[in-house]
Amino acid sequence: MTTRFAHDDDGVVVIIGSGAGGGTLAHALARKGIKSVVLEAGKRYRMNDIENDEWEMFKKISWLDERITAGPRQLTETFPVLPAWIVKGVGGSTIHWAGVSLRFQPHEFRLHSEVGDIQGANLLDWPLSYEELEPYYVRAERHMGVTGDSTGMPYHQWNNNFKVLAAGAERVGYTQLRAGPMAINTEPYDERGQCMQAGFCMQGCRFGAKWSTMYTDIPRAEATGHCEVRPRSMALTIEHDDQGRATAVVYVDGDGNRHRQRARAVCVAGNSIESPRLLLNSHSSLFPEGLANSSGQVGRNYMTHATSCIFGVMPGPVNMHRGTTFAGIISDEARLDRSRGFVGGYTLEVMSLGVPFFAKFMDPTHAGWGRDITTALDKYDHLSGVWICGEDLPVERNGISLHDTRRDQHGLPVPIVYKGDHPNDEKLRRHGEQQATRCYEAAGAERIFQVPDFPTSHNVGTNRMSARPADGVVNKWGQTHDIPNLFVSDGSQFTSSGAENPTLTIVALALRQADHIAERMQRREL
Amino acid sequence: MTPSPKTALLSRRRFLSLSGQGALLAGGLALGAGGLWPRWALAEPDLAAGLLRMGRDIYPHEAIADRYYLTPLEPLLESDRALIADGLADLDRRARQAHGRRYGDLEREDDRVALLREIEDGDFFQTVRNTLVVGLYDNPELWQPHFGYEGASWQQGGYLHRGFNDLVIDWL
Repeated sequence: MTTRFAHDDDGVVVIIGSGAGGGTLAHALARKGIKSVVLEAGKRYRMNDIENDEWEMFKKISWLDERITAGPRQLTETFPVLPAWIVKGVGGSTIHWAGVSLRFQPHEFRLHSEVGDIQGANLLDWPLSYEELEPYYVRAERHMGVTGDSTGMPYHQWNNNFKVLAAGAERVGYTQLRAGPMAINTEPYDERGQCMQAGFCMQGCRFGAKWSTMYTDIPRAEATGHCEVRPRSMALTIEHDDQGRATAVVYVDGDGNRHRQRARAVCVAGNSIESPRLLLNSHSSLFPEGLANSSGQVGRNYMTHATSCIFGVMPGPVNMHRGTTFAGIISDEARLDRSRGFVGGYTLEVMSLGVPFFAKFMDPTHAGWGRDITTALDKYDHLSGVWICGEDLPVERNGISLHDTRRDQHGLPVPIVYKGDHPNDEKLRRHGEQQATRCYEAAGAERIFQVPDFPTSHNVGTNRMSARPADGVVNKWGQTHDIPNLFVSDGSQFTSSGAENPTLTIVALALRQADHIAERMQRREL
Repeated sequence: MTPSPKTALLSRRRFLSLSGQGALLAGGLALGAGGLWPRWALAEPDLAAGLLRMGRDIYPHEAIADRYYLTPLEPLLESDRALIADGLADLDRRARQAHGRRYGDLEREDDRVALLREIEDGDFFQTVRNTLVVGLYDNPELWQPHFGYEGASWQQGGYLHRGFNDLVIDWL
C-alpha cells in the first residue's frame, strides 16, 4: 500500500530521518493512527542491495556529503572530511549498527548529581530517570528483538573472537562477560530469521536477523496506510508562523525540485550532526540563532564516546571475521568508581574487521605503512580485537557549527564537526587501553597494538535534554523548550553519553515520545 | 582510458628528461614478465618500475606477486601522471644525494624506507599509499590464500555451521 499525503496537508507529523529515532517514531505513531510523512535524505535499499563487502557497502550506504572534521584530535588529520561513519538511506544508521543493546545504568542519568561540577565539562542530569525510562527499555527490547530477559531469546554462543578476549579477561579477574544483549535474533523472532553468524554486521544484515528500521518499522509503518516515506528528500529548513509554531518543512527531492510539506508537528531525527545543522539553518527574524536555540545549546555538547581499539596477534588462528562483528561485552569497568582517577565508565566490546578495513584503519595516519602494518596483516587470521566504548563528558565547545562560505550540493553551509578530549576522557581511554592490553597479554598475545579512532558512529548530545530551558534544547519528552510542536527524536537529545551504545536508548525514547505525542494530540495540545 | 599517443609521447619525453636514461631494472625488479605487465606500464618502464618498488616498500609482502601491486597502481600513470613522474624524480634525486644511486637501485630496504619516510607527508606519497591500501587489500584473490580472510559468507549460509565458534584455545 502506498499512501500519499498532499504537500498542503497540515494534519501530518513530518519526521526528518528514518533511522533508530525517526523510523521507530513513524511506526509507533502509525500504529496509533497518527499520520506522518518521513523525509529521508537517502535512497531506499532492498535486501539484495546488502552485500558482504566492506568497501562496496561503505560507498553505497554511507553519508558522504561534505563535512569538515575539526578539533584537537587525530581524526582531523586522518579523516578530514569524514568525521562520522553513519548511513544515508531509508533505515539510517540502523543498517550499519552492530546490534549491541545495553541499557544506560541508573546513575548515568544523573552523573552531575553523582560527581558534582567538573572543570571544563558542561555536566547536567537528564530530566528523566532510569525508573521512568525502564518500561520503555523493556518495550524497546521486545520491539527490536533483544536477546535476554525481555524476549526470552538466549544470548549468542561465544564466537572465536570473544573466546580469546574472554580467556584473557577472566585471567585479569573480570566476571561480567556476556555475548549479549544484542538486537540480533538467536532464534526466529518477529517474522525475522535467526542469525547465521555471517559477519558483516556493519555492512547491513543480509538475513535481516539484526533489527533495522529498514526492514521492520519502515515497511510496517507504510503498511498501516498512515505513513508516507519519501526517500531522497533532504530537509533544508523548518518554517514557522508568527506565533513561533512550526508550520512546514522545505525539502529538495532527488531531482532537485523543492517542496514545502506542511506539518502539524515536526520531529527531527537526522542524527547528531544533521539535526542541529537543520535547526541552525532554519534561523529566521524571530529566531536569529536558529530554531529552538534560545539556550544557545543547539549544536553544542557533541559526544562520540571516548573510544579506542586494541588488537592482539594470537599464537593460533582465531578467524575473528566469523560470526557477529561485536560478539561479546565485558561490563566490569562500566561502573562509576572515582578511585580509577576518572568519572564515567566504559564497556569492552569484542570486535572484528575484514582485511580491507583492517588495512585501512590499522593506522590511517601518514606514517601508517611499512612492515609494522604488513606483519600484522600477514597474521590477519590470528587477530582478535576489542573496542572501548567509554563515557565522554559534554564540553560546550565540542559541537556542530556552520561553515561561513562552503556550501554543499543543496546550497547549505557545510557542517564543521569539532571535538576534543576533556582530560577525563583521556584518563578513561588510557585506563581502557591498559586493561584491554592486560586482557590480551593474559590471553597469550604475541603482539598487541592500538588502532586509532575510526570516524564516529556514536554521535550524541547536540540538542540535549534539560529540565530548565536555559540549559538545553528539549525537555524530557524531546519536545523543544521554545517551540511546542517541534520535537527532537534521535540521539542528539542525550544529556550524557553513558558507557553504552546509544541505539537502544534512542529507540526507548522514540517509543516514549510517540506515546507523549499521541496524548498531547488527544488533549488537543498539538 | 587510453591516452592519445601524442600525450604519451610528450609525457614520456618529459619524464626521460627528468630522470635521465631509463633503466630496465630497478631495485632487482625485473620488467621482463611480459603478459603480467599492463601495456601502459610496458611503455613506461621507468615509471612503472619506480611505482612498483615504492608500492612494495610501502606494503611489503614477499609472497604477493608484482601484478597485485601494479594493477591498482598503474592507472595513476594516467590519472596523476605529473604527480607520479615528479614524485619519482624527486625520490631519485634524494637517493642520489644520500647514496649516489637512484631510489630503485638501492639494495637495502632500510635506505629506501628512510627516503620514503622523508616524503610520507606529501601528496605524491599519500596518493600512492591511499591507492594501494584499497587496491591491494580489497582484492578477493588475495584474501583467502594470503591472509586467511574468507570474504563474503552469506552465500554459504554464514558461519553458523562453518566454524564461527570452533576455536579451542590450546596455547594457554
